Parts: sequence; structure tokens; C-alpha cells
Amino acid sequence: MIRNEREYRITKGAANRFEETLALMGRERASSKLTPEKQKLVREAVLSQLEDLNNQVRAYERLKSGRRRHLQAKSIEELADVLIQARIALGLTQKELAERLAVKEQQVQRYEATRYAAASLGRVSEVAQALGLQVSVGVPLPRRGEERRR
Amino acid sequence: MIPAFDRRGNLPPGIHKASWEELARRYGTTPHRQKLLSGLEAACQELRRAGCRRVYADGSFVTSKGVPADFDGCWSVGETDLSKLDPVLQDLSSGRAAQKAKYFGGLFPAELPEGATGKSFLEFFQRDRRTREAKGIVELKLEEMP
Repeated sequence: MIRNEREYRITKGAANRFEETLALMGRERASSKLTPEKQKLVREAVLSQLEDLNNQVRAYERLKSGRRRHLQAKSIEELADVLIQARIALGLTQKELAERLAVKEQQVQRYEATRYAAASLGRVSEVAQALGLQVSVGVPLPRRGEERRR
Repeated sequence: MIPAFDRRGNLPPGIHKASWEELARRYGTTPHRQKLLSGLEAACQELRRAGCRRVYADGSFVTSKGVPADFDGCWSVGETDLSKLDPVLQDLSSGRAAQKAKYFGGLFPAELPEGATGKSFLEFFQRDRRTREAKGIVELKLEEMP
């Protein structure tokens, strides 16, 4: 998940390098040491990785554009991603969110860099509120005895 | 030997060689992780049968993360006989969905052809994909697996 402009640039850079690699592989087909079969596998690997990166780039661009109207979290961990994504979708900088929370910008940076790992539940709740989010969580219950799988 | 995690919970930069036993001891700390390990082990045995000599374990599985979603890594292609290798391990589509369903994780071929921008997947995996910070991965010698 891309969380800010710097990561966006880095991810786009990586995607560009993979595009170059694909072009190079196309030109080097005859001289490669790998069998055609293996070249095909490696080519698919590059395409697959490129797809991942492009998906991340597109998701971030969509978020930034404000076109995204709904976010989903499938776990409490993902709730952290929702907070980060919501900030981006609302067009708020980390500094602006920090001001709403009356904390330093660095604090918000740390929260986002660590996916809110060390933030208390109370703090997570405050952040959601500061962003004007209505968070509703559905929890299907496991059967008794099955809940200890993890 | 797998070194201690740094303060972010990542392995320090570098390729850290380990035996399967050491990997299992270090990273099999919960039933869920043990499940992921069983998948990685199965994938490694498949690769070994096809002549592969090295697998590199990467991603949040080799960090201090309590509940990684799956494992990531790559395997060396050069010496591997693809005709003997499970086709699922050669299916990289849809975010390695087929591999994740069968092995609980996804593996990439480690090499890129010579001259291709000088980067291999092995090198790509040694950098945090978002921040480009260097991070460590674990190397397994398949011929030494139990």
C-alpha cells in the first residue's frame, strides 16, 4: 500500500525499471542463457510484479483523486490502512491531521509508518473521529473451540 | 545463521544463510506461522525434486510480525528442470493466487536475464518495496533439507 508521495515515486520508479527489463528481455531473446521456457517464466514473473506495482499506483492515484467513496478493512490491522487511506482520500497532509489531533507531525508520520502498531485503541478512535469517519465493524463469530486456530 | 531483528523488526540487510531447522525454530512461533512454514516446506521439496538448489525467504514472514498473511520468496531457476516442477509454482498470475491457495505463500524465479537493468528479483526483494531501505532475506540450501 502506498502511503505518501515519496512511496508513490519509488513505486513508479520500480515499475518503470520493470518495464525497461521487459523491453530488454524482448531484445535479448536470442542471446539469453536461459531456455525459451525459462525466459517465458521469468517474463511472466516480471509481468506479474509489474501488475502488482501498477495496481498499487492506480489505487493511490484513485485515492488521491477523491473518487474513492468507501474503504474496507478485513482485519483490525487493515483498519490502520483505512486511517491512512482516509487521510489521503480527504486530501489531508500528515501535518493537517496532526494539527487536528494536537500532536506533532512526526507523531502522525510514526503512526503511519508503523501502521498504528503502537497506538492505543483510544488514539485510533480519536484519529477516526478527527477524520470524520464512521467506522462500522461486522464480526462473524467462530464456533466455540474453533476460535483458537491462530 | 539468522541474526536478530533490527528495531523495526526486520532482518538486517544481507542474505542470511540458514538451515531449514533454524528457519523453522526462528519463525514457527505460532500455529498460524507453522501452517505457513508447512506450505513453504512443501514448496521447497517440490523445487528440490526439480533440481532447484536455492530458495530465498522474504516478506513479512521473515520479520517479527506476529501474523504474516503469507510467505514470499524466490528460487533459483538456472539449474531447475521446469518439466519436473509443479505447474502451480510456475503460475505467477493474479498475485500468485494459485500458489497462495496451495502453499500459503508465493515464490518468484530469482534471476532475470543477464544485462536486464542489472537487477534480479533477488536484489529487488532485498529492498523494502515502498521505502527502498535495504532489508535482509534468508537463504535455504535445498540439498540440505531434511
